[in-house]
Amino acid sequence: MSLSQLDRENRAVSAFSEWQDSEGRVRRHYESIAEAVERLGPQEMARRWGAAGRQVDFDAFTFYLDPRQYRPAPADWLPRVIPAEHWEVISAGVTQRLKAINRFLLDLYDGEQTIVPPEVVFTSRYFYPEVQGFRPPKGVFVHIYGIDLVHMGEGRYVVLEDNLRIPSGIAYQLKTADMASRLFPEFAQGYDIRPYDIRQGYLDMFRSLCDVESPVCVLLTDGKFGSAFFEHRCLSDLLGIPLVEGADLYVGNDGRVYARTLDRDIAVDLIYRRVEDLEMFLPGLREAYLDRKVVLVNGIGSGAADDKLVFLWAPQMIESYLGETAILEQAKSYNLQDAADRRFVIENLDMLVIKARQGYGGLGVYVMPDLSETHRARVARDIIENPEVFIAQETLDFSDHMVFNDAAGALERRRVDLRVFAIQDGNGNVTVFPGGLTRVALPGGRITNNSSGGLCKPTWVVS
Amino acid sequence: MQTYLGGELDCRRATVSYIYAARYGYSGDVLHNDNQIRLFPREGEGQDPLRTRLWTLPRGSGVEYGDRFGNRVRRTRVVEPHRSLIVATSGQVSLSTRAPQPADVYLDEVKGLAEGMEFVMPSPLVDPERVSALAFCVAGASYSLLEVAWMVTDWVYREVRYGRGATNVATTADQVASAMEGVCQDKTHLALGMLRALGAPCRYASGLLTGQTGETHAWAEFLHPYEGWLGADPTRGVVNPPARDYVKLAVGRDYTDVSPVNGSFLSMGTAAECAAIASVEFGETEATLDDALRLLEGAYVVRNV
Amino acid sequence: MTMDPRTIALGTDRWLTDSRVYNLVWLGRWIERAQNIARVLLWAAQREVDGGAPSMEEVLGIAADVRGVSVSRGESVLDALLSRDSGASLRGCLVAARYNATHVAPLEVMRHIGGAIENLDGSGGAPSSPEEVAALMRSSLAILDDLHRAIEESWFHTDVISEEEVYRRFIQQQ
Repeated sequence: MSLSQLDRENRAVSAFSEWQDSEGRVRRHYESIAEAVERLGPQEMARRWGAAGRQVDFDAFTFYLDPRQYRPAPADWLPRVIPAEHWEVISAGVTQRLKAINRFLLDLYDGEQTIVPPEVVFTSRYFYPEVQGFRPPKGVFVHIYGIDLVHMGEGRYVVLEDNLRIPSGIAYQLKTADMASRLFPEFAQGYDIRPYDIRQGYLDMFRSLCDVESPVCVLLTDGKFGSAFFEHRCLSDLLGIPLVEGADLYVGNDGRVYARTLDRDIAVDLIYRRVEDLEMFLPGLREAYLDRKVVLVNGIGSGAADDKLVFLWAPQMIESYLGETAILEQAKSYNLQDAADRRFVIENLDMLVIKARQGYGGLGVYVMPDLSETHRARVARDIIENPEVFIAQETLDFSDHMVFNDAAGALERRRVDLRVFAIQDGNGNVTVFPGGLTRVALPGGRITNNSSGGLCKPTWVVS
Repeated sequence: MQTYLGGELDCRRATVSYIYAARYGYSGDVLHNDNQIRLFPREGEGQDPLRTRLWTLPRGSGVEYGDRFGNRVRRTRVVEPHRSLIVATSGQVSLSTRAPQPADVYLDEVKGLAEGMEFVMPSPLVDPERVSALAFCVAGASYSLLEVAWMVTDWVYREVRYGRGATNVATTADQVASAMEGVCQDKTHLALGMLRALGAPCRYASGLLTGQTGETHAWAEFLHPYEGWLGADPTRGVVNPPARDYVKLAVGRDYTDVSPVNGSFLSMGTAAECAAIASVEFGETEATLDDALRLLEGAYVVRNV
Repeated sequence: MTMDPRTIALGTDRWLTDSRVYNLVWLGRWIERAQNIARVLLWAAQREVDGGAPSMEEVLGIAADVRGVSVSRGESVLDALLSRDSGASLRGCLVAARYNATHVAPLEVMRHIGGAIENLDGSGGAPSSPEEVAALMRSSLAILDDLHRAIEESWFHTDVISEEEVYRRFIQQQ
């Protein structure tokens, strides 16, 4: 069984394939995986895929689209390999961006910022006026950062989005890589995969934010029907911190936050929160935070910078706060409230991606070239009527990767993106976890988010 | 029409004092209430705010900024649990008593203006296409800007009955054209739709009528290539009125851009009632929050909003 | 228990918070219900296999009545008790238990629940003959027995807190 038989059609999806060069030769850093794939053959591959799917189901490795529908997270087990020299660039770029955005937020809430126009940043749904004049503990707003990148080829990675509120996916990164290494040991043979320790990184970060020796930390979840509940449970187990719901917490008379437990109520020092609307889950929590009675990860108000319109000014933030030029390019974006930009967008609508400013998880993203005529007309009308709700972005021809279609017993090419996670501790040190979560778009599509039905893929950085 | 100028020495300017107060009632406790408030007088076009104040009860925290139409906006988040929210504002404004003297121009002259591009396009409540047949019936034979403005304004003033009940805040221009009845907001939307259908860039202005106690007012403004934005009030049947007639609070493409208080709240209950009242007097009197609350007692209450 | 809260802060997730207690109790209840339904189905099917009267269908009708399960026209009682998408069916109980398990139970327990659901789904279409039903219920009960063993072997049964206490706290919450 040869690879060319596995890869029956090999129809080009993107100009750049991660897996093979333009002549169809497997790239050097994929050779060993490609050999393993050939050795296994389609029958064995399909059998293993089935077994892996069964384990995903049994382990409740889920991502819910509909809260009442149990849904195992779909995954593809062919690893994505990132060469070390690419990773150095990504890692430096992510670090730089995280630091600059955090500085911007400090200035926005407790200082003067002149980079982003006030009518842009103050209308962001996640700008919180009550945080004004507040400096978060140790000057960190964004503790956990998820950045969405796409690869244009030859190490050129472009930023699509920043996720600064409650970025999710790191447990998916961990679980897919972990399962791949146990279920498909032959893929990893011959690779020197860069290790990372999320547990140690997170716990050290939590400790650095608190003034007490051994802080009481909890993970606040929106409950077992939430789409990424698997991640909440998984991180709670991994970090060894209790998983709590809003009803388990209350704000005491002394202003501190307490967790109700069977034995006693325990004062909490730090809440790793995985819900955005804190008021709804725990009235009084915001006051406790602003009174410095509890640390929140991420801080309240960090979302003001993950507005997709504020995104436009990130390169200026890097220049102004760090005196550096941005290492990572970002997708060229257009502000529909600006007359010149708006005219350009209306004239070139069919070539652009339209995104809702405050959407997330692929909701409110319209890739115009991939839409039908009638759908396009509807979006066009929508943005003319509500220009303040949308931004426009250039459509990128980003890379594709091989995915094993176990029903057809063949490899196929589908587009992939990369969400990389980084953390920032109380001393301003940034750690970027090597690899990330590679998400695979639906066949022929460009939207990779798990909420839109995309697959996860194990991702390695190799030397 | 008001003639008393409050003993002003400079008869080209008049100073007015205004109060606006609104109360929003809810059927359950509201945990957070996040609103963008557009209740500051605009600067320019014959109007100079001298002093402005804004209160909310309960108090909230807020920021101020200008939106893309140049309206001054206060974004306020109230996070103290409440069952009713009061927004009140007062201030003094100096207004020009003279109207501009615009020269009439061909309609084609305004069609290409970059400034007006956005204001000939459809907006959420005004779709020019749906009233274009009507617009061409009424003023299709005219080629000059002022003539078109006059004909549309006058037609809407005379033909659309003034009355409440047939429409609400979400009524679109074409719905007004079929009901042929509405309040100032509806008349303005219809006039905007017709003017846009004819190619004249025009915008929605909201504010307070001077010398009156009552509701907020709305009128249209059309773009003139040399004089800028000129008023066209289809409720009063006036084109190019002096700035003295209004305290102009906000402009936009239609009501959705300028609604005085616009936002979202988090509650198990729903919005149950709403009351609003405005008062504008000539002269320089300083109004307090108590004055505003007293005024609010006399406001007309709309239930089950 | 007189542990200093700070020492248990990092390194354990064993606080019994309200939401944990809630999910623990419901996990137990759903599994118990699932077992009861499986036993009734097995008994009814076995009677018919052994040639006893009344038939499986009749016995199940009585069982459904007792449990307050309404059966709509055209639907078989067997389907209503076996696989209907509600808490009244064997499958429905297991699905509900799995949600509670995702909050509180260790992987081992979740895997057994997954196995029990797979066993029901994977039997190659719905069983119809009493022989098929009996065989399916025997395998289901065997898996549920394993599940019980897994629960007993894992910490959250034996650790610090007795079942009675968990239940007492649950009642207090209601």
